[in-house]
Amino acid sequence: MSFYMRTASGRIPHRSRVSVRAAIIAVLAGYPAGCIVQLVTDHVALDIFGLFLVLVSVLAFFWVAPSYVQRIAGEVPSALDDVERDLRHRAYAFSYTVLTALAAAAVFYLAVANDDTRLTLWAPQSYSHWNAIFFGVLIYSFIMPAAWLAWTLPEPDAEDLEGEAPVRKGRARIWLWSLLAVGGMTGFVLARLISG
Amino acid sequence: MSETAIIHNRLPVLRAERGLSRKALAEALGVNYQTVGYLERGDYNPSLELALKLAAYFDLPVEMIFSLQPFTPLSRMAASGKGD
Repeated sequence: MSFYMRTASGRIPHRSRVSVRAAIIAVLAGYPAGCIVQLVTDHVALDIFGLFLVLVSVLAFFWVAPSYVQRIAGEVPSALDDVERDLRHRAYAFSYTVLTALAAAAVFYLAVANDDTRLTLWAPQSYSHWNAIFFGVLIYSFIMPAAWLAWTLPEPDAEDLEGEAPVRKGRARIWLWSLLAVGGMTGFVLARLISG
Repeated sequence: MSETAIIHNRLPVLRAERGLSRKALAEALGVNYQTVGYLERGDYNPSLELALKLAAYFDLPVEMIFSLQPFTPLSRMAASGKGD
């Protein structure tokens, strides 16, 4: 399962391979780190920091979402060419291996955590725990094929880049993302104040 | 990148002969422009369908475009032709 955010013009925006890799690392590391920080602390500042990490990982995901690698992973198959479909199959095979290993490890951990009371291991109990796990599984399954592609696809050369859409000034979009981030943080603080 | 045998190709020469950019060739074939680059560099091998499409586009037999053996450079072919 994957997801591709097609642009309104249908053109694939330029994303350097380094920036895509950095964004994927932010998604894969930022989301679980943010959730763990929120889980282990009761301090409001650390709680906000945890939320910030989650927010960064979500924004990083939306940076990758319209990219070339995510197109291969998530576009409808009929819109891909032969080479891209072959790459998708390989990326999905890698994702299947990684995600099944993670699922098996998680089930094993939950079995031990629920069965052995002497270890007092943490296990998800509340709705928010399962909610975080659900979105974690979703975001990992969306990004894993793109992760394989971002690290294995050969670098495009100068002639390849001639066919890419010109880089647009991102000023307006940065303001939009900033507004969304500030709105999210304000909502979180208000929710904490009202519930506290 | 491909784990299968390397397939050599004459795509850059054929494209240059016709003054085509990768993007123009990609559009004519209905593939992504980066795919043409991957094929030219030998990063990936074409499917049979794509190889036949390229042969039809250049109006050449498929073995004139793709080969399991490296193609003889044109300069060497010209030199041997002069020697005959």
